[in-house]
Amino acid sequence: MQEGRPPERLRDVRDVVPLEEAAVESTPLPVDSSKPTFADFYRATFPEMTRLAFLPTGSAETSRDLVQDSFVRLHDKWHGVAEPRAYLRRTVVNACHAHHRRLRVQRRHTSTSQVGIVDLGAEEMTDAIAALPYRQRAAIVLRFWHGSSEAEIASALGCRPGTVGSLIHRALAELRKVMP
Amino acid sequence: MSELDDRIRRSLARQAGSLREPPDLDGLTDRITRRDRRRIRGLSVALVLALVAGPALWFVTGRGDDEPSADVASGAAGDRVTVDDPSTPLPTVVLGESGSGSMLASIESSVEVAGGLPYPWFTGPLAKAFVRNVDDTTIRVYRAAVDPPSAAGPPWWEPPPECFPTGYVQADVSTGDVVGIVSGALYAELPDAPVGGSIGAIGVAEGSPLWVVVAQAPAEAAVVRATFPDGHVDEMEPIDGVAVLVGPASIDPEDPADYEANVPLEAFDADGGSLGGGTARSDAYFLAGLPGPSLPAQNPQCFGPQELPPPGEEQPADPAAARAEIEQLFGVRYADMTDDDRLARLDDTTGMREVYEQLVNTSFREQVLGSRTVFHDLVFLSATRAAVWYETEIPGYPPQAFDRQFGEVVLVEGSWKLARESVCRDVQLAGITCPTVP
Repeated sequence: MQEGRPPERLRDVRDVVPLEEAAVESTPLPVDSSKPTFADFYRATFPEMTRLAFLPTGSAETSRDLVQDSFVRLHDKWHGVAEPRAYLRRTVVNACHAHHRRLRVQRRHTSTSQVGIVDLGAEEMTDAIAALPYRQRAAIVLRFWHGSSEAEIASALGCRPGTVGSLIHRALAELRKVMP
Repeated sequence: MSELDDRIRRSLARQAGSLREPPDLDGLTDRITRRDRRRIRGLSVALVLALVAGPALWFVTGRGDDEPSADVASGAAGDRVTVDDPSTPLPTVVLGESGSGSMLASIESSVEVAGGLPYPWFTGPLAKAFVRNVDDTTIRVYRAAVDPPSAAGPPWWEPPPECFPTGYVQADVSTGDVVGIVSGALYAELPDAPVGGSIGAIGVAEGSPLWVVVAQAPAEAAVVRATFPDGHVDEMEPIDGVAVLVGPASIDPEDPADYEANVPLEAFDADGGSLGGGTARSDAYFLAGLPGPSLPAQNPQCFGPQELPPPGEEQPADPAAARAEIEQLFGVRYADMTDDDRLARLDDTTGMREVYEQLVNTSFREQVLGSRTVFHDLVFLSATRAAVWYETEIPGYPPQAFDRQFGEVVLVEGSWKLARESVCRDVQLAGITCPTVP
């Protein structure tokens, strides 16, 4: 993501995020001189990761929850992970996928259609993307919003690079059908 | 860039830009702390799972002969059930015979399994229970009894019966096309229904998926019935409260969501009257091969209170002096004491010298030697017994990992001593089990 993303996006996000220094000082989070501190890394990447989770899940509350849990998992492995950003990205994408699976199961066992309603709004393209199968949706988000390479998307989705091309191809074909 | 690509980018950027979620480092720290606490409390789960999961490794040993030693026709619904000799006692899974090494090690190394659940292994025997033949499916069922762990909570707390399994069931299911194993836990009492169980799928990779339900039924049940997602119904007369039911499944191997199902169960008495219903569930535990309708990690009631109990009516004649003496039992680093020192602090030293010798010969020698207990508070339960809140500092573990430990001290011949039972709960952290006092 650092590799493929326009830097303005991160700068914008940092500008709107209030940093609570007191909270940073009081945290028992670990320190590793070879990397940024976990707290600094958290502050720098949290907004980006919540957006990465928000786009496929469509819920601000869910995305915050999934991303916080992903950081908890990263915290466990902080000293052993060479590429924390890539690790976190994959963890977030996996968490979104797991969330999606839970919603599917809930939908099967509930008679109402209230489960999993998204608050994305009524924008046509947004709705079309939201209607894609999860893996296609995630591939589209990573490719077109996150600027990830095919290899990075494959890593995040846990599939072969060739599968990424297929996912995006099918997603675009689906979007073309509904977006003349 | 095509126009479609551009529209996608703009749409996603607009949506992403609408989100304003500030970092919440305090919230994250809270989550990490809670996770660490859960993980440590998960020790008790680890012990249970060690008992429950491990027999799978020894299932071949447990099978022994292919045929049961004593047959009793006990079929229901047109199938054929042969029951093993019911007088044969079940093997009991005994804590400390797991051979799984340290539970702490298991927790640390296996936390990724099943979404954070510890997943240690246990080795032990199983007893043949019964064989059920229905259509072209053969179901061989094996059982073991399980002793609940003693490290499940404060010593003055009795866990609800649904918290820890008392039995383990393993079903070896084979058809003409596939073979697989599904397991389930038995409880002294099911939490919210007369019948319950776990569900697993076999034969998915082979393209012949089959649901298998391991159900626990009340003693008075004459029939247990499962209704599978496609409407298929299977039922059998439970054998010693256990029924194993099968039904066709429709599972896409590529879609993990398909592996999850909740199957309604119903139990009936001999007259056909309904005894009530329940559900066989699949969940994260099942995905790790570990069943259970109400395992501790899912039920906060199973962790026990995290605070001292109210004081008893009788108090020591000089509570302040008693407290000061009790505090002296804590605070010394393990390596700064001899085994004689440690034994002198116990109310009952039966088998404890051997326990201390084992402790420094585990893979956790350094952690044991560097550990220290820190006294926090106490309440006197009587004039001769007190409940103590303390913490155990262990090198390499976060400060909050063991910060709410509870134990008891007792007055023996005018001196306050650590209760052996409480010390034994602590040494379980290093995978050591105290010998049972006759």
